[in-house]
Amino acid sequence: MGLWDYTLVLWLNQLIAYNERTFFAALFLSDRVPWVLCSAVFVALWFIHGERMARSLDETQDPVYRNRLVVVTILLGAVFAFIVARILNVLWDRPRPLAWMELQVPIAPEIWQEVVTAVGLGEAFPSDHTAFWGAVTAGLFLISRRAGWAGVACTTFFAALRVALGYHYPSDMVAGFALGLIGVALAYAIRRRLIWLVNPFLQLFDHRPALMYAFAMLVLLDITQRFAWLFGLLAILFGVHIPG
Amino acid sequence: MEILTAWATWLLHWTLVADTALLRWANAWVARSPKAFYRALEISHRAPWVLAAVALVWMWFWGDEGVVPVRHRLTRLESRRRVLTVIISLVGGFFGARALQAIIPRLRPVAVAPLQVPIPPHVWDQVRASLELQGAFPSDHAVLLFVIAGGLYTVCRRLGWFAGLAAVYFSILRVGLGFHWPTDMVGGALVGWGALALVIFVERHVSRLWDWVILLFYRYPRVLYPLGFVFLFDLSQKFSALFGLISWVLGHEVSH
Repeated sequence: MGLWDYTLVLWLNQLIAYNERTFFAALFLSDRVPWVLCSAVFVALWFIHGERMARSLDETQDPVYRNRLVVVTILLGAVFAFIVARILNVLWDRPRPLAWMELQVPIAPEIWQEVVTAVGLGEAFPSDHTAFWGAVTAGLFLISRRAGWAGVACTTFFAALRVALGYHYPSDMVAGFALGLIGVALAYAIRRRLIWLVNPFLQLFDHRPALMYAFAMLVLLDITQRFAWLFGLLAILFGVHIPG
Repeated sequence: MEILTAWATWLLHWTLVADTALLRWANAWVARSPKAFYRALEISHRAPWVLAAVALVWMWFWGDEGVVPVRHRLTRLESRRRVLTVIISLVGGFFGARALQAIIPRLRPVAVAPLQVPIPPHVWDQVRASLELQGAFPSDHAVLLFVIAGGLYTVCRRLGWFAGLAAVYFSILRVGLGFHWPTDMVGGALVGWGALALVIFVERHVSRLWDWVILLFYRYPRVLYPLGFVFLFDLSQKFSALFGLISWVLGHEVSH
């Protein structure tokens, strides 16, 4: 950990610890909000040009199909990055700043204790949150540069909040973001090979919309839960325990 | 008059007997093991809200495209109108239930009835602390469950029956945990269905307003669909974000 890591945590923490309300706002905004925002971005990308794809399934001709492919690419990359980040968390046991640094916490100690218990003291590197947001940002660059930069701004804001709360060091965030970019790059590279699987799946949304969108709603709600249901299901079905 | 009073007393007596007997039966079933009790706690807490959000999405995309239904009973436009009807019924039903809870001072079974609770007392105390012990009648969970089941029934009979069975299952879980008396669930179902029937009755009079909202989804999908998702997400969280935001703005806790 470099000195800049330590200094940035303290500086950002000072900004949000201005009073109780700003601290609570940071807690609220850094918890579910980014995940809900990511899911809302998926929904926006999916429906931006309408509800139905053309029959041709041609990326260059049909913007609906193109956007849906991007959503699938982001999801694949994001899930990959998220799982790799969780595994690295365990392998690289780095204590969180809140475990040892003297941070300013202007809220009741028992509430802060609950937060600390929920977040845990170790497993800081890399940030799985930023891995996911990084993947979404990379995907937004596939749609438009402006959307991509908006994604970068949002990710930086939410990452700064988590650093300020002492959950992570800035280097955890950079590593997580890089992981997200790599995840989407990999998904983008293999998506042509997966087209035989992806196309029928996308067409199902036009043929059986009620069923598929209900399923998609469950997936989106699981994203807002940071894949808790998916990991729970994996644990029940295959005995695979993904930590976190 | 005397006959009427005697009949009302008899009815009240047997309602209370049936309420207590059903509560005991449901509690014995839910408390058959600590694992079953924890599962009931977890399922009854969040699952109905998540399923409600999923059911509304299902309804939104149900029905035949075009103006004449061919494969299904109704067109997608009619189905979408029904989604808006269900949402307004839910809002009306919740307010109705809250008003009745304030008027009728009925305590929850956890506060007065001897229940089997096979989990550590400190865990159970936390659960009890999260409940307002007064204002059991009617259950707002029942309002949600039965409005959704009723709404689904009006667009697809088979799924409506299935949702009705799910609503009964969740109701038994909440009764078994001691959160409600059986009659609270029946009351909630009646309030919900009453609200739904009322809004369906006036639906054709407000169909222009419904169509305008639906048209907005076609015109501005990039804005309205994400907003719709955020609304459904908050519904799945029992509107905790909405109430959290209100609490933060007001600077004090607002219970819901």
